[in-house]
Amino acid sequence: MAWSASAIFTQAVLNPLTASAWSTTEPTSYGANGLSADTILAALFNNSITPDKDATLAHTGYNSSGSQWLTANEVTDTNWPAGGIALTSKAYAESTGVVNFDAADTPGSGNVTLASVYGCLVYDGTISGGTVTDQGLCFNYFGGSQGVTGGTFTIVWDSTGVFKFTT
Amino acid sequence: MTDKRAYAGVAEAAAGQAVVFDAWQDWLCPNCGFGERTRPLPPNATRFHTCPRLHMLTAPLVRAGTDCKVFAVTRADYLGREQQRMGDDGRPYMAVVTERADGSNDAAAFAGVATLRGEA
Repeated sequence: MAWSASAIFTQAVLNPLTASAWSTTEPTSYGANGLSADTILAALFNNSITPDKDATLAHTGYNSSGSQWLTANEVTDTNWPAGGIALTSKAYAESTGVVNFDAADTPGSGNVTLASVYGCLVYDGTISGGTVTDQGLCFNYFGGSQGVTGGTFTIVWDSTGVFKFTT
Repeated sequence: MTDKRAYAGVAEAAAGQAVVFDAWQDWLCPNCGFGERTRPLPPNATRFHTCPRLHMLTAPLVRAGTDCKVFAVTRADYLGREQQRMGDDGRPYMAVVTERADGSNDAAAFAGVATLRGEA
């Protein structure tokens, strides 16, 4: 099994992203200002996993037991450590028929050596209570195997965002 | 031709006055020739531009004098409904890679966008 696409977790849409649409309760540690206040991180993963957008809530968190997103499957370096790199310049915007969450491109904090990087988990590192900690928001496929030797690795987010809702 | 300003600087330095050197870093695209000049940046710093010779993709600039090649890598997997960076040739690309003569390399990895499609 392997990566095949990018997707938003169904559980993230249910809660917290659209929690206010119904009487569902947001994670107690989900910041009052949501994604803008919380620390959102991107962690790199190899192809030993099969990302599942419909995974149960407990299986969407970074390194949550029984999930795909275990550190054993993570690709790391001193300058791209376990747990990932925090997104900066986050923005939430709308245009015709689209609402998107975007961020500045994400580089490592220095030169890295990485191999077999297939995609990343984008998760909320501030969520520390409720059913799952570090709840996943989405996963983004890079389209194949990527690697770097003694150089910079930068995630260039799509021009339409990290994730988006289209209507 | 004599540069009187240079001699004046030497004279001022000799007189105990500080001489301020203005350091900069030149950046170039080896494909399209686009260039920038910045203040010196950390060793792992990167600069990007939209490269007309690399299918209008976001591509890095390299420090002037770097022995390297910069090229685009087409997506390895079936695209399906996935949305990933497209070149002006209509093909999906998954990275722009910089390969240096010393064997090291950089990668700018194009992430697919995670999409939720709503229907009413």
